[in-house]
Amino acid sequence: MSLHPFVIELLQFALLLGLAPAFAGWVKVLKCRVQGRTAPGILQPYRDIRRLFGKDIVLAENASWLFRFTPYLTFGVTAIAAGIIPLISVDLPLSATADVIALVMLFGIVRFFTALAGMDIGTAFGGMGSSREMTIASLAEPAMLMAIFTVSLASNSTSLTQMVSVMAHSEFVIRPSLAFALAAFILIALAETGRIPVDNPATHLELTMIHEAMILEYSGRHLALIEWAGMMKLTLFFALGIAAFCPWGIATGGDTGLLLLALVALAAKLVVGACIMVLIETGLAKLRIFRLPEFLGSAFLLATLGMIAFFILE
Amino acid sequence: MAQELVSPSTLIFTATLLAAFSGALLLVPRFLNASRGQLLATVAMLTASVLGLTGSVAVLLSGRTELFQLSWTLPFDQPEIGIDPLSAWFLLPIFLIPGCAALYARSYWHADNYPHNVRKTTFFFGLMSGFMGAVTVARDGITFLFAWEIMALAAYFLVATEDEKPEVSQAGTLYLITTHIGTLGLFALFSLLTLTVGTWLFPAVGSLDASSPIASALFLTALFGFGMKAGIMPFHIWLPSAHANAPSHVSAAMSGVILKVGIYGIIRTLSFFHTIPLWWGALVLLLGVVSGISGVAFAIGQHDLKRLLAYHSIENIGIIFMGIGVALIGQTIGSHPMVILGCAGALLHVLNHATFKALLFLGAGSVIHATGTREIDLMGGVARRLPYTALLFGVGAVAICGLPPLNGFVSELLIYLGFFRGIQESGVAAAATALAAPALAVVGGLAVACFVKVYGIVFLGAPRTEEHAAHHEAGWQMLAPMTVLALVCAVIGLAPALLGGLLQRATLTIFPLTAPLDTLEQLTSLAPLTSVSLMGVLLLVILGLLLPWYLRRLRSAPQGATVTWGCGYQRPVARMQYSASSFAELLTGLFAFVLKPQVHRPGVARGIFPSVTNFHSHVPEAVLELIYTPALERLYARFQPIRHMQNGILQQYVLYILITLVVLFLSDYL
Repeated sequence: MSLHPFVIELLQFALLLGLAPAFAGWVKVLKCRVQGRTAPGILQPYRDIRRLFGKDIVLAENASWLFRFTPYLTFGVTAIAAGIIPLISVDLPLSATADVIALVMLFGIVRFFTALAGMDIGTAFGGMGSSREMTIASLAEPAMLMAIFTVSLASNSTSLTQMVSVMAHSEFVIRPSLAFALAAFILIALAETGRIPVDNPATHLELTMIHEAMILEYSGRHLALIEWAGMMKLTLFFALGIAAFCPWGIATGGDTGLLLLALVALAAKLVVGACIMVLIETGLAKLRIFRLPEFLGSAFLLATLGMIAFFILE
Repeated sequence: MAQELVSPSTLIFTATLLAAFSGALLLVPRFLNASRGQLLATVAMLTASVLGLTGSVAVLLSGRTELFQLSWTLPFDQPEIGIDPLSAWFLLPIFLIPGCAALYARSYWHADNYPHNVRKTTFFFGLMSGFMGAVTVARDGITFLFAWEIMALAAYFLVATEDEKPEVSQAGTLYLITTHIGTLGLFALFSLLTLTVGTWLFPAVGSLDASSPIASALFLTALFGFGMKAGIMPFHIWLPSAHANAPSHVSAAMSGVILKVGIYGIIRTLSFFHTIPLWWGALVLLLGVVSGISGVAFAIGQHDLKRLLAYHSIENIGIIFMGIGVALIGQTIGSHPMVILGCAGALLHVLNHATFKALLFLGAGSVIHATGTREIDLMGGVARRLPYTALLFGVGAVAICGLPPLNGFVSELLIYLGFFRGIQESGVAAAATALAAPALAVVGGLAVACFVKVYGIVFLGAPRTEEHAAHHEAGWQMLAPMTVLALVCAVIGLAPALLGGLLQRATLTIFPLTAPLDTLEQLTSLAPLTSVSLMGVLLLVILGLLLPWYLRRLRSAPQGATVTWGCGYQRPVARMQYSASSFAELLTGLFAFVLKPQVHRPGVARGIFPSVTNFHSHVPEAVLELIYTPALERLYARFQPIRHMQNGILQQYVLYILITLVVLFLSDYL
């Protein structure tokens, strides 16, 4: 039996929207276990989102329409990204738009508006969060672009679909350029999704928070949308890494059996990826914010090295 | 086929003349009162815009090239003017931006508010706009220099509009000096060119061999002369102060278009050559990288709204140079995709930067008009009083950051794809593009940070001072031109494929290909222009779907407004908001080795009741203040003895002239 690409597209949307909280919950559970704490259960993010949707919102006095619109924009744009990154099949109607440069810029829009929302309320915390987030992003974004660029050089196209197809059907050889790019990508993914050692998603200590400081004034369904989009973003970064560096097993058509296989492969890769992230998060302490430029600078250098390795060695 | 009533070139030439002399009647004070004269000039400028844009688009669509001889008895060759797709492409911003700015000025610089300088400003504005057009249609060195010099001088009078203020008059003088040093370079360029080809007429495209030493000299003088006008990094020193001190509609036209005339000059000069050596492309690319990164780094440190935008112009000129560099490298190594992507990216960025930068300058003008200051740190909460201006400025900000679905993204994408093609080549070409790609990414990342700062500090939050709280929304004459520019940004961003053919035609005028272009090397197949549109539309559809939900919620939701969290502090005031300097502190710290920020921090007074203290930080124009000024001062001291010759006695000067003449006669006789 074969599924129509539109059905697969919808399936992928549903998968990401529905299962991103579960993935985030599972990461939390895993982290608790590794750190010897009692875990809240894999379904906790769903309960949080439901609770937040049920609450009224409290707005800061200065909040303008931009503050209120940003959660919707964040959610909408993240959902678009969920539609164009190939998860289980490369044959998606939206995959034509999956240019990696455009994808990086999509996350850029979200960040632009979130940072503005942080400044909209007119507090020191919002401004501090925005300033820190934009400083980190302005260093992480080029590194991200370079890492992905290196992969696209290997597959001769900046179209993500094309990259995945080429990578999935090529033999496994260790290419130094990709190794550098992967190392850079991991560092950047930690920064972009706000994980330790860059940012700590669990802290609300005023002096150390980065992303949380920007969204400190959000409440109710606004917060629910932002949190949900954040979980999707986490999952999407894993998906992007998987698509760019180890897409083996992804389906090229709409055959149900292959799709199921792809789903199992994706789940297995997500499990491995999450374990690695949890180990990094547990093993490292959060860096001082003044050390972050060095951290991101090394990511940038690694990515650039990958690119140089490509044209020297390949 | 029906005969056309008026040829596109006639339209363009008429529009150029109409624009140039749109304000001429204002010079006769008795004849017209200032307000009516300004209205007349505005109508003339708008008419010129419409005529000129129609003509340019017609030329671009047909791709034809025409030449006309002027019957003009000058001691040089017969002057020529002409139209080709390259000129027509540059005429798009030249007609679009001044038209919009003129309408804006009708409200922003109204005759009733500025009675003593409105006549001069309106006249010179028209003159500058018209002669920018004349520069692009000139086809011989003399006509070019004539038009160039009138344009440059008219711009001086515009920069120095309010020359009773010392700051403005200084900025004007700096501009005048630098522009003439640039013109000196152009004199050298055209003299050398005439020596090489034997005529003042421009040589045909690709007719000169670029490998000769004289070609390199031509290239370097062009880079110097035109680079001075374009504001490329080491020659940019006039740009920040001139843009900051001119009236905002003038800044919009200068930043939007005059800089682009410099770019036009470089591209036109490059088009004369064939077999371009690799180092030309590498040098242009390097200049682009330096300008791009340092421009945006300086911009982050600024707290004067218009100075900040001026530094972003330097950054964007850098991006355009990167595109030209890619195209040149592609031309050298024979990679058609690189030529087309790089050049099309650069040309598109010329138009894009003109529209969004003009939009931002006009928006900044409205903000300055409403708040009475250019100092970002004194503003805040402007969006509340100026909602339309805030929205339009927001469009410009998203566009300049290169974010989809607006136009800045498209041109940067083309240049990225040009880099991408370059890295797949081999040798120096690959190395140069591999190093430039991260630079463009850094520029993009920093630009986003900078515009979050500007937009957040100026438009959002609460007013930081009572005195400079915004009072009034701009009038329709100010909002309408900004809306037009914002729409242009959106249309190019959403449907870039519309321009694909035009861009390719303009590119092929500059870099004619030896082999016929096969279908795989068309711009539309090299760059995913349709999928850019698809993504833009998708974005709008999703937002459109979310909007009803948002609006319904907005109406029904309970409005629980409260003070924000301040660690338990219950009375936060507007001054506790992050300021522009504090927002940028982390990033200026990272770039301190270039920016040399100056911090004045006397320290907090001790005691139970500490006295008042203050903090002040400032990012100076490091290149001017730390390199040029000391060097010139040293030069001045060294040449002090020679200054005795210049002692202000007229008779001696006449004697010098006599001696020179005698020496010249003798040298001819011998």
